[in-house]
Amino acid sequence: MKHPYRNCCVKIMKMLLLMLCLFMLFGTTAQAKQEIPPLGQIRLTVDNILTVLRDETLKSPDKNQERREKILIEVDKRFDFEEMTRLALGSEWDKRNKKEQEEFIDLFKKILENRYIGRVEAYSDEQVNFQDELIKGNKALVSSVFSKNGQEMSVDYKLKKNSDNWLVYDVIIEKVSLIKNYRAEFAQIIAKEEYAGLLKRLKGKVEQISE
Amino acid sequence: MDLRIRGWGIVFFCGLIFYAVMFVSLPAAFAAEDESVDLSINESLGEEDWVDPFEDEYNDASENVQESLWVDPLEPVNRAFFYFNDKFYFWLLKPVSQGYAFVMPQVGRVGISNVFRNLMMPVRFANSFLQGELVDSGVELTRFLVNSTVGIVGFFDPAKDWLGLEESQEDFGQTLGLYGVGDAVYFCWPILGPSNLRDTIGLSGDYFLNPISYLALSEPLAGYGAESVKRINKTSLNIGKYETIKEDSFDPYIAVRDVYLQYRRGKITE
Repeated sequence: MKHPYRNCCVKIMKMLLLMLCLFMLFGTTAQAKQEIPPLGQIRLTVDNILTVLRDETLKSPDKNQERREKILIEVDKRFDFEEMTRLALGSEWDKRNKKEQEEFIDLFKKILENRYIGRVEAYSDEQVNFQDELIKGNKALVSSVFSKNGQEMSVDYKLKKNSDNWLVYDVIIEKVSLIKNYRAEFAQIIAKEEYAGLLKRLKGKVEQISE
Repeated sequence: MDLRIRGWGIVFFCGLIFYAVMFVSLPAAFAAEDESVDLSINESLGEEDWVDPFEDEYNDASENVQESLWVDPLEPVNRAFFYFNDKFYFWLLKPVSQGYAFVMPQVGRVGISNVFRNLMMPVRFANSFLQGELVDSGVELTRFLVNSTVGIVGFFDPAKDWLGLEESQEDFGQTLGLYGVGDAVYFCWPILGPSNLRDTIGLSGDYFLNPISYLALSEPLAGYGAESVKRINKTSLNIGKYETIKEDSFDPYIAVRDVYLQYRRGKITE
């Protein structure tokens, strides 16, 4: 004996199921559209770097190259090296043509990576606490603390928004801004030895690092 | 003990005198229009009166050259001392500290550094007080009481570990900075390392609050011995920091100077 309303019931069920599916689909896309705040983004990067650093299989000396490359992938995704170079060169940036700018970015990038990774490596087995984020328009300041047997190192990141991504344009380690530090150096070297002298020093430094 | 009490007397007296002098003459003497320290102290991010971190000096690089000219008129002399300190570190201080680190385990070295920090309580107490951070000076006293007893003469830090009381890390140089004294002239002292006029005055002010100074007055050898142990111990915990700055910079002298000035300014506006 067939129930008279059975067809109708099935239809309604199907409708409901379809709606539920649609809702879930749109719900997730709506969620995916929701932005990750700068603190979350930088935390993700730092966590990924620390995961690589703590990876036992990568700790042997012959894996050094591989380990570094893995870290660099993470750093490159999150750091805005063009902006960093622009700020570090200050007034000199506008005096250089596109080609020179790109050359400088490539060299300076290696030095910045080296400096940042070097600092983080020293604290790799320890914990990182992300503490605050401060957002103002398209800029953000995220503060974190690395601690290691009783000693603490504060690391703050300044980020700039670029569509959905927050990209780092300055790292402030123990209250000392990397970019300002280099800017002070660059300015004085350029004043004494012109841009060419700075470029020479930069190349020498990069060679030193990659040895 | 009576020495300490006398020390306190001297301290408060000095504090009052400095206070008076500060407000009358020093700001005028050092007034550097673009270097005046922002007097708004931000307790935490997001408050009304915070120093806007984004409106800072990523300005024209040529201004940096200008700044280094007036902040470091003694550059040639400073460079000579910087070179001397560099050699002093690599030839003497570092090998000695490494040898010391080899025989003394990390836990012991952190403990000894805690003992010295505990002894320096009067410096932090007085300067928190002078900066109007009354709560912090109270915290310093509490920390001292707890760590000197439960923490075994300050070797351990139960005040922080159990009670969550943080050290204030204030000194007279920062107090002066808060009162509006600018960096003035950068110094690179032999042995002591980077400093500036304000912080050098600050160091001499803090000298009266440092128990080791009084030890050095009565027992010179013991005093210098204690100061040396303190220095070697501290170096052993920080080996590699100077090397990395040196390694990452194009002109270590400028890099170290800038790191020092940035660090101190950061401490003042903290």
